[in-house]
Amino acid sequence: MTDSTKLIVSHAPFYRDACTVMKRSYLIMAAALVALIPGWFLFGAPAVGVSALAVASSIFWELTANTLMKQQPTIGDGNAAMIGLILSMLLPATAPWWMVITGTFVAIIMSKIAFGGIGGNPFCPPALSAAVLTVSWPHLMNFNGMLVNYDMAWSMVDPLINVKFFGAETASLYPPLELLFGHQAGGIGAVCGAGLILGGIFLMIRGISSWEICLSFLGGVFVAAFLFNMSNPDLYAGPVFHLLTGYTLVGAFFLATEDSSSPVNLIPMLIYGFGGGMLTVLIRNKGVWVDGVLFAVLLMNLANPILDMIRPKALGKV
Amino acid sequence: MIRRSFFGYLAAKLPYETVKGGLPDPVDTALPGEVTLQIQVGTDQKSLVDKKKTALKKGVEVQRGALYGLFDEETKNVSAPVSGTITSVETRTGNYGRHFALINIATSEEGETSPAFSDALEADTKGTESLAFLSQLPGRPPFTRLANDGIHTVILSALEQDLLTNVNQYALLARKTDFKRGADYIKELAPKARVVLALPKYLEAEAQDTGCETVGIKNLYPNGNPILLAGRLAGKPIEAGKTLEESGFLLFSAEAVAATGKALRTRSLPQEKLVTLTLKNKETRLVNARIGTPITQIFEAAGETLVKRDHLIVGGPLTGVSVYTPNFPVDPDTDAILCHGPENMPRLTDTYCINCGKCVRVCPANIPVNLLIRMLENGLYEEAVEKYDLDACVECGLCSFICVAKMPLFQQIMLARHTLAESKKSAEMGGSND
Repeated sequence: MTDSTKLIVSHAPFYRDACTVMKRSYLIMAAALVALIPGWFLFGAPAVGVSALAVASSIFWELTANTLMKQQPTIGDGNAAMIGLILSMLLPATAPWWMVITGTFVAIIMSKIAFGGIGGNPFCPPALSAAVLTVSWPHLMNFNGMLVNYDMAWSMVDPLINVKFFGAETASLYPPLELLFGHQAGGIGAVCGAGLILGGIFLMIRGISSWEICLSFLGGVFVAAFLFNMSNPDLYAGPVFHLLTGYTLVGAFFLATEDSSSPVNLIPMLIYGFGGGMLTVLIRNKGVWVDGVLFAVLLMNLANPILDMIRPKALGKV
Repeated sequence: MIRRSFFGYLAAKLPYETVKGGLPDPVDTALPGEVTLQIQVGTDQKSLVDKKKTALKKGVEVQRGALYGLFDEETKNVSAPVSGTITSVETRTGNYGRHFALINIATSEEGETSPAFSDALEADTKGTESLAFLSQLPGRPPFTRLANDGIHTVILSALEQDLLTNVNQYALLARKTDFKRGADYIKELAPKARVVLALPKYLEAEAQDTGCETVGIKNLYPNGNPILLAGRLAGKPIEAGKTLEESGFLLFSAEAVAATGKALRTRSLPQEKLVTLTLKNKETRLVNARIGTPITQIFEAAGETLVKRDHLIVGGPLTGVSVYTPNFPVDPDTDAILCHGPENMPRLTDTYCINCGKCVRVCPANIPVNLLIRMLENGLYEEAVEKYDLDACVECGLCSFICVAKMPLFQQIMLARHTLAESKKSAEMGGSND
């Protein structure tokens, strides 16, 4: 039966879906750009510089780690660039260069490579990195101080700080439509609500970000903010304000849905997202910190392995 | 062929081929000069074959349509598809260490068909000997096991086992009278069992005159999977880890039923297998080939030549096996054969699981594939069965199809299942596991 014509053999399946890790990273970056480009226009060249440096230094850190560990370079999968780009969405436009590089070091080396590379990280790398920066240099992550030289046609006081320290009536300074168009102080990619929503919808319908997590996260924010607002309308701002300010939308579409630190089964995804949303508002309204998204996401990351044990029974199991 | 939805949150939609565009006209291939028959053998039997201690050996004359035993005259397990002389008997090792005996027969001129089958039918239409003959039909109908008392449902399936083939739908439509005769025969053989015809929804109207209870099923992969099909017909899933037969089901493909009907009508064994060929330019052809024909000859008949480094797949794109030589024969259960050049080789990587969760969404058996693969990669097979439902797998290959990291998920699962089965077997025989 044998013959000189040697054929290639491999294992089934012989057709495979065309989506790869690289395409996935690039699609997420494309969605992030929808929110970042308006931010670049609002904040100008320094913002572009921060994003570019974040992407470049992320790739640099990953390549350095690969070289030191004598591994095949993994920068080709686009994951490092994606982490850098998402981190830059959270930073103020005037972030100093050394902070950006430190941030990407924390994101790539400490929260990804240290845990075994892609797929092994227990926390969302950009969220962990931004949280470390917030705790380490609170004044450099304070949008009031950092964006003081920007003189815009709208209020450049961080809406969350205003509401936290001056009461809920200051929320009326920020009409939702203005917030959607990015007329607020905040992270480069976090100000333009409309862009984030568009990018998020794109990611959800392509099945890259789980819609269960995104929507339940937003639902959690809405419900918690609504309850706080009902209990004391003078002290706590309404749900729409909380949805459109701070990192809420970035968190819902880009941070909470990070693959390896989020659950994959339906009920865990809903609990994870809803819990993250509730915690966000809880930290904002009751905690020390102005924005709770980063800490909420990290706390829910911590709960992920246990949450994901709630899963449907396999076929034919009793 | 494979439609990919832009809306990725939906599960991948993989429709089976249909015969909606009219019945294709099967191309007949010429009588091959040499045929090869494959029989799966155990390890002990393999050494018998290697030592040439078989009843069928070089120089033995065989007659078309007669039944032979490979090792002795008693257990007859080979039906000769052509008349001729055996040129050699060899072995090959297939996937997961399965052994096959290969019997090469040089075809002499198309002679008389052996009267053995019609004699057997004459003696007793439902006797063991007739059933032994019928079990060799294209589609490998499990007639010899039909007498088991535990069988409560017989599924006649016009759904395909894999993508890129429509032989069962073709057989049901184009050979309707033979199909009806075959189905009636099966009903007579298993009077107590429920006989159900499972078929794609769009064929339901066509199948009313077969006299069978019909169940229309969406023509989407993996609905034709035997275990999923049985679970659907029974109203509750088959217990994980049990085979179809242990749960009281038997599956006959529509082609096998039609071949049975033809065998009863003509009183001789049909030995032409319907195969869907997919050529390198993605064209599909329906081919009628003698069992045992080398695949290269079938491709020649379709105007395609196989060259070095091509990829030849027997049995469909999701669950088939790729073979190493173009002279590989057509088996009685080969429904689809496809080939493509090296440029279409699916790429595999050694990336770790990125935990995107697509496999969990697509798995028809609700297996936590993302956790399972972490066990399998580290060889923790027993833990994989206990905690991560390895035994519930229905072997559809969808997790591997959808995997973003392009991991060899299906291969790991099959390897684990095979390793576990082997160690169970050796434990039963009193041997150690290592």
